[in-house]
Amino acid sequence: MLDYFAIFTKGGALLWTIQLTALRGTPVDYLIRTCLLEERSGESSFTYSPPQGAGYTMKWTLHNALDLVFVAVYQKALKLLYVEELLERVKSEFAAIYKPREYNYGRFETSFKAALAQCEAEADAAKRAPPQVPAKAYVSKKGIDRKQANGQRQANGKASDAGEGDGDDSSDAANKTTSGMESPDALGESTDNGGSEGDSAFNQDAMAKKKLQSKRGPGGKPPSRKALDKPAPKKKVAEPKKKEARKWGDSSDGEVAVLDYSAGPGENGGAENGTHIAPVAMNDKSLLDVDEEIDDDYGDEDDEAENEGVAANGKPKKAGLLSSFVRNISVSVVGTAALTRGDIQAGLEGLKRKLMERNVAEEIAEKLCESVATGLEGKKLGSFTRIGSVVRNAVEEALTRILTPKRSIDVLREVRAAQAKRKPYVIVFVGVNGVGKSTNLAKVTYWLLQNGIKPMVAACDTFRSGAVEQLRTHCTRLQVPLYERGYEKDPAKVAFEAIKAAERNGCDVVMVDTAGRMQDNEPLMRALANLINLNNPDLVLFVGEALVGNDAVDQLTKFNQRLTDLADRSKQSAVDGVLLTKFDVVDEKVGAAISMVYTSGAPIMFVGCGQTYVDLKRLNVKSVVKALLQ
Amino acid sequence: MAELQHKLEQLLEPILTQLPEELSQHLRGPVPLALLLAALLLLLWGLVRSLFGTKRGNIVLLVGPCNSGKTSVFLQLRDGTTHSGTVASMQENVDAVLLRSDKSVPPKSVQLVDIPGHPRVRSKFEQYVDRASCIVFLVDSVDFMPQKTDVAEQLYEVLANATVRKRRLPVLLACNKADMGPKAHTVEFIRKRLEKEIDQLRSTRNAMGDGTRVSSEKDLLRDASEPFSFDALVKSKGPKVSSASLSAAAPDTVELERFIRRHTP
Repeated sequence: MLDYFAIFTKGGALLWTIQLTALRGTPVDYLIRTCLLEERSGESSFTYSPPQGAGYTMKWTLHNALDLVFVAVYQKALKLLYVEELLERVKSEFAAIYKPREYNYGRFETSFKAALAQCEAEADAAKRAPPQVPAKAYVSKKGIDRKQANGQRQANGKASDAGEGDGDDSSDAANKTTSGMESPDALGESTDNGGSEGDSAFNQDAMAKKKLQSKRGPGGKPPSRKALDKPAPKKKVAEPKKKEARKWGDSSDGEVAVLDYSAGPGENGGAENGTHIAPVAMNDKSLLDVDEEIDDDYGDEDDEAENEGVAANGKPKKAGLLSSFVRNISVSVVGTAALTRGDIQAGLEGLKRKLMERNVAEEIAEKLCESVATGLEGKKLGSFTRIGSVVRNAVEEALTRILTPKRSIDVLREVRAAQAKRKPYVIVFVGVNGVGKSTNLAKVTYWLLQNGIKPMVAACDTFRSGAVEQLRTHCTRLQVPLYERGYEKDPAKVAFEAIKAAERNGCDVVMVDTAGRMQDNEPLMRALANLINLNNPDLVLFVGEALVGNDAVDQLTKFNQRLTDLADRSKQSAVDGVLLTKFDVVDEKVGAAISMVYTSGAPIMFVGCGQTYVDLKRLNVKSVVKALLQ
Repeated sequence: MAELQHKLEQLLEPILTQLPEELSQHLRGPVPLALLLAALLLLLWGLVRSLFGTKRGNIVLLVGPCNSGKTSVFLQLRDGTTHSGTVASMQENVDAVLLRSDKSVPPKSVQLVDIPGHPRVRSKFEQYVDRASCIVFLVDSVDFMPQKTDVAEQLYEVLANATVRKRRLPVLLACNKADMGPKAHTVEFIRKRLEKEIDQLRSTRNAMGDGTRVSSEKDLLRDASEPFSFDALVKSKGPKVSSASLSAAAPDTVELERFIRRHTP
């Protein structure tokens, strides 16, 4: 059953715990670090696998007014249905006795045990009792029957009229209804059908039936009418989705961009002819190394946004103007009432829309807002604080937290460490087609060169025509050795040999360029996993373009998933970092950054922001957050 | 001009009437009046500054990596016990604590802020550093080796912070968990290792401008002519880093309290 239950403050001091069985590992710490602090608290449960033994499932609830966290831990294999109930019960009971700066709650054990016993008993009873769902359905059906019988009675007179008006078809239907009326049993049956039909609205068969039914009962059956109306708009919604999936325009866009890239560096013409490729002058500093003054003032936009938030607040509450006014006063002016879900929701709705406008994937925006709402619910505001601004601040904090890298993004230091070990540092660039892998590989190479590191480029894109030649051009310009074995070779082996060659030549870094592949392309993903398996690179950089919207989540999830599954790495996630490209073309639509970091948990290591070698930057968290909420 | 003088006289009338007759006669000219006004303004400004704009704050910041025992130290100092233990903090703890382990001097009250060590919430440091009078950087001296690079990186961030540098905030490198006996590394060892790590770090960090820092802040460790050491840092007008061993569990917080006493107003 339940293994462990803990109550602690958000500050981190344990208030009360109970250990029902010996606990392995530190599930609670893990929960805080990887879930609650990662803006995932909107989820309902979390799994922790200790170093040995079976995993744990954890559920939690937050008491935001008192800054308390309640966590229940139990075996993953068990399906405890009462945990949520228990959490809620314990939360309310503990909140009643909680005093700040009081840490001795030994006496709480009895009330906890009582609550636990009660919850268990209730769950047991629910299990033992005959399944309640059909019983309920029965009751509701009865209700429907009664209603419909009434309707039928009323419609009785009209039925014949309507039948005549509708012509032949419906006269047939009218006949049917009248025949139904003859025996009360038959009536019950037909209405039953009408009621249940709504559920299986997607079924084509059901649709056909429904048509019949609607003909049958021109008057008496509002539910079946509704059921008929329902699928129609749904269909309409489904249609544009289908269209979206077709991505001709998008991918060709990407290709054009790639063409642009290759044209950029080869400006001095005739590059392919091998006549003369001038090496670039290394005078320009890569933008990574150039400091930039950034103004942090939010200025008027802040106020504007706040106003907007307030406006959004006011909108959904048209009903009960006075009561909402009183509530607003008690929440924001006097600061006595705790925030409810409704208060927050109004502000969040606007912010979610805004995030989505900024190209954050819908799924991510949803989760993020959910998490923020969980963190705010029940909180008490100080006097004269607006809900809109509180929500905004919470979201801003959450965004900053997400974008702040949790692992070191100091590639140079890792390179130096590898240098000390006399082992080349291997960076693999992966990504879908046409996001700019090769271009940004060249930019990173340029940056490494400037910092006195000897890189080598390995052309492991043995698939796309011209890929090797493109890299050769870059390498000639940068005066960097290129390792290539032409086309149609196994990229994993090419990379392997390249690393060996780098070791021989005393190169510090091997930059592995791979072929672009769609995340659903199984054989190619397998090949990539093989490459990673064989060479065990130090850094797997996922190259993603900032233009991508909802697809970002899918791309990264699948890349990560496939690589983790196929490549036998001890690491938790296969992708170590993200390189965000085409950042210069998106203006304030920087949402892809959030989507990618949230999905993969990997930090954004570099940002590509132009066509030339110097156009590589580090992500500026503040300005991205600012752009998102502007 | 005359109009201006008149206005000034009107403004200073209440003061002038308070003064002896001959003195006020002397003062009734445009130049002395203006001077008097300037002096008064200066006085007022100084008063306001001393009241509100504290040059050096009065709070003590507890920072350091996850699981180095910040919350334990916080509870230990505040309540004299760590209660039933701690878990990873999600938000900062702020409270006034009474330093009382040294019985020879009267207890002293200071404002203590415990900043969570999780990388995602570390940035809270910047919110509080403006009001800090000193910084205690906690290190887990048992589990030090596996995470030495991360510790060094975080310490670097603290030392390179603009406010810390500008105000030369004293930093205490407090090696926690000294009660673990031979399992705990010595303070000297940790200090030396961190110096070495930071030395490596500064060469790479300089190349990693994230576009947010103003260049003057980065000078801290840019002078790479000699290997980095905390002593050299003081000489180059950087923050002073002292070190001490400490135990939140034993409890042994004498050295920590002495440091805080010395560096809080």
